[in-house]
Amino acid sequence: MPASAQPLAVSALRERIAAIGADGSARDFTPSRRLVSLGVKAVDQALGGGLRRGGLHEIRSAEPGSTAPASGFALALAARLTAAEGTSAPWLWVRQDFSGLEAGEPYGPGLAAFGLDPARLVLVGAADASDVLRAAEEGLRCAALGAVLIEPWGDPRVLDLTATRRLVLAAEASGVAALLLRPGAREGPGGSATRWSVGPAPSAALPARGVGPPAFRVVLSRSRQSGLDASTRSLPAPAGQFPDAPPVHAREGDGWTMEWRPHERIFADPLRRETRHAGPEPVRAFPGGALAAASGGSPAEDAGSRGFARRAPSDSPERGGVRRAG
Amino acid sequence: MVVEKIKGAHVVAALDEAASQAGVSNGMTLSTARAIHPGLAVMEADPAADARALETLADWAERYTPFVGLDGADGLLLDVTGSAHLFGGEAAMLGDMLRRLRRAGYAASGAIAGAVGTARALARHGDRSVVIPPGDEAEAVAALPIEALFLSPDAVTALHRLGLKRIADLADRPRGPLAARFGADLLSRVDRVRGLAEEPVSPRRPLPSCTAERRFAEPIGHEEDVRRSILSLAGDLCAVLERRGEGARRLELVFFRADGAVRRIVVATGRPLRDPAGMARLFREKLDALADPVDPGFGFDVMRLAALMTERQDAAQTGLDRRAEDAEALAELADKLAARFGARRVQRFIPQDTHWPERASLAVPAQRSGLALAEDWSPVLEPDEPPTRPLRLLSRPETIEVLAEIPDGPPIRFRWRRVLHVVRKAEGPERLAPEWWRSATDALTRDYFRVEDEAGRRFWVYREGLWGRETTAPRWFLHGLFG
Repeated sequence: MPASAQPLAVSALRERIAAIGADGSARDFTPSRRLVSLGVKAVDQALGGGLRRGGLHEIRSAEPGSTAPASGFALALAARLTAAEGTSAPWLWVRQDFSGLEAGEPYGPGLAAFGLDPARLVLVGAADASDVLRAAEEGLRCAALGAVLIEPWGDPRVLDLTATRRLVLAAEASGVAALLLRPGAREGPGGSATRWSVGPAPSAALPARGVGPPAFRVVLSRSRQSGLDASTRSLPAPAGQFPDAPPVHAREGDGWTMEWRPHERIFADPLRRETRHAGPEPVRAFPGGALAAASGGSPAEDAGSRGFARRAPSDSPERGGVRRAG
Repeated sequence: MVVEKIKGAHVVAALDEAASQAGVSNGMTLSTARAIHPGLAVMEADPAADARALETLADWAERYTPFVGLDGADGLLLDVTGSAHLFGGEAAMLGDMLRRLRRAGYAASGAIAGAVGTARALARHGDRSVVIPPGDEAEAVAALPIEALFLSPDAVTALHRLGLKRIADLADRPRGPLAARFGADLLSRVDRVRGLAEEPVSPRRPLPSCTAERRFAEPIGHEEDVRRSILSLAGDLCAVLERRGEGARRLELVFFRADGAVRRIVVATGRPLRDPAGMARLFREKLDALADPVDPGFGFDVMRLAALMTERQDAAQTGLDRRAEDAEALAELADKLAARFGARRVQRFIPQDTHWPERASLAVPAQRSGLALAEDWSPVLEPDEPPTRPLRLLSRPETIEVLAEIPDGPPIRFRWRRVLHVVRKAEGPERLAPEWWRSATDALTRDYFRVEDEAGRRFWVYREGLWGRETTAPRWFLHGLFG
């Protein structure tokens, strides 16, 4: 284990102690403190249990010019967060007009195929960044939402520490997750609970050269919720400095490759593809270690696997077998 | 004095008291008028500006009643049924109206009567200010000249020749011969002026379904006062709506400034609304977002809140149903955002039954579609199947330079936005034929490919046109981006 693991574990414990009220009752169930497992054990650990609702999470692209992976990852987080309630919660996507021109407009059928429910999306187009922030704050106050995806373009001056702080406060008060997607951004203020830097990752090979499920190279460069910060020297890799090949999987510090499973609305570690059927198919009992990756093994809730379990009968084992062989 | 050009000659169109006392009258040529009084101040007529001024006055007059109609190019017609008591009776109301108009520099006369024709005839040809009690219409107009019937000049001349100068003269005559000589129109005019026949009039704006208003003895201008007034107006309006079992879909707030300026603010809601706090919130959003803020000037002396459009809304039930609550909260959010950013900027997706990518999902204003949470995006997820449609679609497909096998192989490499991508994985083609049944479609067949480059970026590209059949040089486009 790297040296960083110990302070991590300590801070996760501190977090849990802090969550226990003076009367001994756990406050973990208030929505703003609830942690949502992302499905990859290493990532959940680095987060101190999972991604917190009611926090501001910043997602930027690892490389300038290509924002699609970052936007895919942000949408995957949105899907994860809206799905975790059991049914899918409505969500809001506020984007600056320029971002739509540059990176493409949201596409209903694509969102549906990605595991998001377009029928529950309210989409706001804002002319400039201050409108984006205003609409986002309005949305974050609406507790019925599962997540608010905030997409200003570039490094607008209005997006300063005060502005992010306002978003954080609104998110904490309502328990709605704020996902701040930063296409075209170079620098940015602090204030967010987590900061992710996302780049493209080759999808898992399918038979016949086909394109596989969405995959991302993800670096968690800050996580306040688990006390991890880029300044603590535990994370040597700044954004965009991946070794070209081979990608390092599921190792802290260098980041992870995370595969998104639209159907189950959960992330997976592509190296452990065999864990995919562990949860829903009790017949195929896997060793506990492999199982842990899918079920989290943390205070996080695990609704994603439950959602998967419902749909499991339609998933033929033969087919799964072929895929795994490939 | 104002002149206008008719058939090449300047003719007097309007004149003030002093000029008419000097002996000038309407219809004179300018040279005749100058001969009578060389020192006349003359202005060119500007009908467009006159019309604008009348519209402004009509806006102002809405402080008395929402029903304001235009009467000709220089008159206003108000239906004051039910609103006169707010001013202490009809006479007081008319007096207030004329006083304010004169103070603003207008020469005005007015009349209140039970029939439109009577009031018009009296205002234009009778006393300066008169209120006719119900039933006295015929008597009130008896002494008026026949010009008050607004007949054509020829008809007036012909009647004068017969010695018929006043309305009473016509009213006493047997109707048969008059109708035979001058047409039935004359008789109906006489009846209307005498209050015996109704005359249809229409207001300038559609009448609101219900209104609430506040009049302030002292004009208010402080933001806090205005907010409180909006809330109490909303309370009044909601009480009316509640009685009717309706909710408002479109609300208008009208500010009447003490100096006569009028400002209207309209908000629309996505569902019937009957909650005073909610209404006040919507107006607050809208007022905050105005590019051109409402200027209180010396203060507002009247504020009116009107429901322009209402819809049936049954008594609110406080449900335990989480879904209904969510839908309600979401509708409220959509209303708020729409009030601030405009209804067209707040959207929802509606699935469309078509395979053509650009048309497969339609973004519509969230308010219009309502926020029912059960739209069907059915062919969504095949287990373990990677998404076949991109997350983001470029609003215009962008041309790319592609190296691909002929006739229908996938791209081997391509250049998009000046960056070269080497394709490692590709899936396709998915052949989509244009919808020929839509008129004016000269689109070509598209072969779509999902491709992944060496870094793992995933794109949706297509080749336009079938090689050899539709085109000899198919073009390639990048249409969407996968996550």
